[in-house]
Amino acid sequence: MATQREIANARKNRLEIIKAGLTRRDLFKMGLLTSAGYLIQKNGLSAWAQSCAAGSCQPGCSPFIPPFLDPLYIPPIVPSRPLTDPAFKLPPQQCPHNTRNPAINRPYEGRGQYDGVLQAGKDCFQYFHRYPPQVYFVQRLRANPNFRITSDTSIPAQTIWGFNRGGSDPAMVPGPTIVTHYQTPFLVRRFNELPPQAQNGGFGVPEVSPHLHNYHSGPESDGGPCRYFFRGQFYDFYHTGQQAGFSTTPFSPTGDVRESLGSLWYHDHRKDHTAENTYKGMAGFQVNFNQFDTGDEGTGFRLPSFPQYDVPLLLADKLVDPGTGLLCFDTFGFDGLVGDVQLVNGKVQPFMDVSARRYRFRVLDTGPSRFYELHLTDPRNPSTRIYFWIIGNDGNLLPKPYLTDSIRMGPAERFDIIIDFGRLQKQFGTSILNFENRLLQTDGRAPKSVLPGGDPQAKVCMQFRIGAAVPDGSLDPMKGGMTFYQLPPTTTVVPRITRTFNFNRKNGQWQINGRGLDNCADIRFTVQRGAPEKWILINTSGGWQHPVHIHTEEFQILSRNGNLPTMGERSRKDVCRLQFSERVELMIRFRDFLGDYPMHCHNVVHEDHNMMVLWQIGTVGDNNTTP
Amino acid sequence: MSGMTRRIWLAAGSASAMAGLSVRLGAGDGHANHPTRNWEQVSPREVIRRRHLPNVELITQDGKSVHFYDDLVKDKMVLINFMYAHCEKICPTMTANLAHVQRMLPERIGHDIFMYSITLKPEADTPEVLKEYAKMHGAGPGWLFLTGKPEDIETLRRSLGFTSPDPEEDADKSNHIGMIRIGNEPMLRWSACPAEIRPQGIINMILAEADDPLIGPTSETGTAAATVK
Amino acid sequence: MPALHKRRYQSIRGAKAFLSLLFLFVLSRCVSAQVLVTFPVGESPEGIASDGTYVWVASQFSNIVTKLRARDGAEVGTYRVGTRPVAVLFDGSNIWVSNLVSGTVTKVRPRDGALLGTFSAGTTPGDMAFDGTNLWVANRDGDRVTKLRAADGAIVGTYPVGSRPMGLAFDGAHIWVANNMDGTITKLRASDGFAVGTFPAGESPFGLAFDGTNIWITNFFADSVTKLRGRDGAKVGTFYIGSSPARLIYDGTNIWVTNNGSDNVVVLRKKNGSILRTYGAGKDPFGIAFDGVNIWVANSGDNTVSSSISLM
Repeated sequence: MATQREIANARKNRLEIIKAGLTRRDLFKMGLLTSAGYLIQKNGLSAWAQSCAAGSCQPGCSPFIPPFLDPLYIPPIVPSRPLTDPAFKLPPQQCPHNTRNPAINRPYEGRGQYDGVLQAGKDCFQYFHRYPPQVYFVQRLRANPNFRITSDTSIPAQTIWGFNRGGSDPAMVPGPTIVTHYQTPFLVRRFNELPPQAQNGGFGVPEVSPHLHNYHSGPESDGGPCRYFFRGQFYDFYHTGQQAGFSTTPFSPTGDVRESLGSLWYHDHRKDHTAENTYKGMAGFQVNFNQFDTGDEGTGFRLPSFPQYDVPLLLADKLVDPGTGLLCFDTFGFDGLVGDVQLVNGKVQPFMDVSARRYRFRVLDTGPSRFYELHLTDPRNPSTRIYFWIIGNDGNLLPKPYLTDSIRMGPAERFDIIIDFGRLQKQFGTSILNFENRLLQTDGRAPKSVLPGGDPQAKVCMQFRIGAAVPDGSLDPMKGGMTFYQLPPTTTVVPRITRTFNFNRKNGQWQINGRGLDNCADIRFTVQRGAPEKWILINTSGGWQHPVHIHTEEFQILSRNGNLPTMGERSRKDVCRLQFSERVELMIRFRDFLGDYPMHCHNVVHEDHNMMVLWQIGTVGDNNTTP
Repeated sequence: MSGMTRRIWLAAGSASAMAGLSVRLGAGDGHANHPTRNWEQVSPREVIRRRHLPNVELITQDGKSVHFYDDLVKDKMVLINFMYAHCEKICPTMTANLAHVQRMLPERIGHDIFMYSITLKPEADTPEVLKEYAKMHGAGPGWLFLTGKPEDIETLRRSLGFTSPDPEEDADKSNHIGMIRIGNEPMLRWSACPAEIRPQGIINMILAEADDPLIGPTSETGTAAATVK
Repeated sequence: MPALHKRRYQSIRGAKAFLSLLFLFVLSRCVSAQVLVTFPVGESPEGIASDGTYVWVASQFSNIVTKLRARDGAEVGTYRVGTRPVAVLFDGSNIWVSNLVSGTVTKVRPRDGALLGTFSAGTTPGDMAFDGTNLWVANRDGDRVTKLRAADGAIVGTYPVGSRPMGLAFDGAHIWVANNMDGTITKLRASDGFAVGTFPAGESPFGLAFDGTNIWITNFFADSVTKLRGRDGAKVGTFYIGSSPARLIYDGTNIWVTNNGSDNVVVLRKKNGSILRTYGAGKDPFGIAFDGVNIWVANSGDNTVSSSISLM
């Protein structure tokens, strides 16, 4: 029932629309007209619209925020620090600093705690002396109450909890980018300086476990669900800097270069509360280079230079409370959250001025639950197919570039793409290209359908504005002959065992093979270090889709529904999208490290309600085929 | 900016909901005048209370009248589940697990952690029936079994997230999601735990939810000892 | 202090005694939660139907249909069908299997499993219904239904419905369609496919059954069953009978419902939806069939079929 004030406001708005000279076609394209030609029943336009009451936290109720107000924010790079930096007063060491910090009555370092309880002597860094760290980084998790998602000053500042660059600088969303190079072992010290629980603004918990998704790491450095640490502690994350296979012949000591990962991200992974924490801002990008993927378009594979023409794009959809104007997250939900406010690199639907040349974008779906199908759309001719190149999947370069007009992504998937703005500008005679999500999704369980280009319900994530041409030293995939790494073999590999995992739902909780992660001691099966396995992931017709993620190793999809995967999926991957009624076979190896890791759905709301299983790498594997 | 360009940029963006606000068309120059909006100043704790913790009247197994938010939840750490006395599904396991939990945490349950089992069949489960049920399961003090008016129970169940939103009238409410809602109300910390898992798993989670928020420096800024300016 | 300990210890012992008694009490009351006998079939079965003599189960990832003898569950044979067989139907003469990925339906002769034909059925065909002459197939990703002549498999027409049609039922004159992703039921005239009405259901309507007068609908994510009056689609009642109810059938007397989320099957009184009995099934049950005497349930999570043959 609309109030007098709402009716008056709506009339004022309608008059303004008329004054602005918007045509009916404009209004329809903006999604403001029904097919019958009437203004949609949205509060603020129609006098008879339902109110989204203050306190609503659901799609359709967020206040309107104009798109294309802000340029794309490019996160700064975390500086490396010398060991003389005061942050390393307690120097990094192989085994955790278990000594008690009297200020908090807990150890100084959070490493060694499991489900919050100290296990003395555990979680020392494997291989620490073989590959001593050469580069050190510091980050501090803290609150930032002055974070803006838009320069529209009518939307208030937000309080985010996230990562900073290690000094006194404020936390940002996305967090700053960490840049590392293979064969250079590195260590990141993270301080938990988050506020107390009661100051969380309605969601978020101050115990954290930052996970580097999906580096080949020991469990002590992987950031798993049970290794969270408390306010007032720090945690050292050490990484050998070597590709998988580094500890045995034939690939020791550097590992198999075909197992190189490029585009990674780091985000919180605390058991039961991952969704609210990542949503609140605990996510950032990490970029790995090596002797081929160098970041310099004059060398190696000659991919566009970092950072100017090699840009991470972190997609995140949010909800805003229409009463307070603040980001909201309902911690009582089970099925997932889809937002109606679209952020890229922390700002609402930004624009990016690009030169008319090739760019590499590292596109990441940070979730929490949304699937995307991203297209380049010419707003004047939205049905035109516009092509770009996929060069990497989940941070792994494909054997060679693959031409496509869209990428389908689930939460946590990454795609490295090359867009040739120079060629497209000439081809279409346009300087405006929208990066548009055409996949309709209205609840957190599964997407619905693909919309036509330019549809009012499709969401333009960001807009590229093409300027003048500049010199381009990168290779042109169109010219052919561009190759990256061959895939490590799978057809000649005999798996030690085949295991099957059914992804289902019992009594309202999400489960794997009929169980969830009941408690941290529940390690369901043991794989054998050095012995590959075949895993079968099954999803029925029930009506849900799951992006399934496995830690510490990249797998290869052998078949999807009995067929070879499509070209874009013939890749090493760490997130496997399970769509309706699908059966995926994958091959996975377990190398170098011992210890426990999770497999879970990366719809983080499903993960928190309980769609996760812990497994471990041991010297002898078990024979449980349906763990 | 010309009207033509403005129209193109508007057509290029798919606008979504608008809430009581004038349409501003200054897209792109980044510094157009944005009108102010009247935002509510309400505490996050109050937002959660309004959305999820209605103050409905309930009756305990001892016949005492209580209000859900004011008497049972406000300022407390709580475990909430739904059941009914003659259930045919997983509720024997669930109630047995909760009884085990209560036995394992005698110094907490009823002191700073409170257990509430709410019936889904208020017409059948009178306070006397619930009292007998509680006795049968060895429920001790600090574990309340509650009934109330059917429409209040329904409101409570939906508010606490025990079912998908379903506005129709029910003919027969034997729905039963096997889940325990765990909440630390003053700490704005809410989660859920499956009811049929081993009791030790439930205990681990309860203790983490109750005690983890208390860990850390007491100073406002929350800085660790080994930090730098 | 010691007195307190002793009292607590005694009350713990007392509680333990209570619990043992309670366990026995509950066990005796749990006679109704009998577990049905199971038979192994191929991988991830969802669809199942019976011709009265045999039971046919489609194993969706094995691309086969398994023929079991209804009186004892013995396996008679397995037959290759298309890719991803998700549903099975008996039209009075023949068995039909819909192949989700192939986009076809396969017609099988019951007595010997002979393949009588494979027919194009539109995109992603799933659940089916029979109107006496024609086979109706729900196109899950196409938001439509396809009508094929049973005699020769020719497509008679296709008709738009709501989003993600997952269930079909025939009431003598109309085809009812459960639109899983928009929460509605579409009622089509069987003669010409004309949509005579659209009715709201609960969240994620999945399965449909007709009991002679009423249409019953499982609402998968609402954990409820809705009963609509067949004549005009008016809602008669909503019942909560288990977790994630999937498929249901009418056995002439009662309504049987598989609960995918609680791994059981419930029997509901047709008059008022109350639960008469509950049976434990295998893991992740979906399809359910009635052979005239017994019910059969397809358990996608453990690759088995459950049956009531040991109980009746």
